[in-house]
Amino acid sequence: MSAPDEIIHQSLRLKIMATLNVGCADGPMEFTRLRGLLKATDGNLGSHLATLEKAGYVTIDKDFVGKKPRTRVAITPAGAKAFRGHVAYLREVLDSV
Amino acid sequence: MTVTRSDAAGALRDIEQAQTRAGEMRGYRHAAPYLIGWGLIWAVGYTLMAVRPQPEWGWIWLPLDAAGIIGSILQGRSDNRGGTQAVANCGMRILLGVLFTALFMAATYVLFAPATVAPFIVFPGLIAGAIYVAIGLAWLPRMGWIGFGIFVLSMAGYLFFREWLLYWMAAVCGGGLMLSGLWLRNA
Repeated sequence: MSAPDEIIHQSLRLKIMATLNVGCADGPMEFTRLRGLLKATDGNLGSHLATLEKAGYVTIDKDFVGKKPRTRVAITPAGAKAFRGHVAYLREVLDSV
Repeated sequence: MTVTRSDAAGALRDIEQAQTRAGEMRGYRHAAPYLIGWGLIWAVGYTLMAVRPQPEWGWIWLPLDAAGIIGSILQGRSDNRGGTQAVANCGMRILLGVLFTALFMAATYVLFAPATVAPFIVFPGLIAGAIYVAIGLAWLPRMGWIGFGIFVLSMAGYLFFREWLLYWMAAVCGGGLMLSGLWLRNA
């Protein structure tokens, strides 16, 4: 049986990874869009993203569009692999007798 | 770390919900430029019809429809850069979809032979509305509301504003499509 990923398994981090796994197909996702999709607060989302970034599962890029600051988040290949592995683990748990 | 079956089921449910929502939002952003583009074409086409004599109407739509089809194909290719082979054929599917819709409309005119010009003017709004409602029911709920709105507004123009029908279709339906596109773009 595969092993659970303790970093990803936390509820909001799981949703972040699931959202980025689909939403980043066209490129990085803006922090504000991610926050809207997950209905999370700035602080809560920022803290969980920092944990995922530290694990190498997401990248966070900050830049300016004109004078307006912009934060974009993307899932890394390592993050996508870890997410797939965790989903496989969850399915195995569910299918186990 | 212990994960029970109940935890796993809950987590998988959360993942599915998050991915469905992210997929919908992505779909809206992809649909937005098509709605804005075709809304602009409708606005220009119907306005030109209102100010030009009826024999010229076909010549108005020929270049506009061609521009819409080419624009849609280019947009489809741009959306699918780096995608799979299945989505790489998107341009061809758009072209076939538009051609079949045109064929369906022509067949309907042959079958029901409208006695006045008003049904010809309104019918594209009904067809577009029906297609968007179908897309909404199958995949993207907001598209369903947009389609329903276009359908109802087209019929309202036919029933209550027939004297101003061309301007109605340009402003309300063409403009409505453009606004809908902006709404989807910000989803």
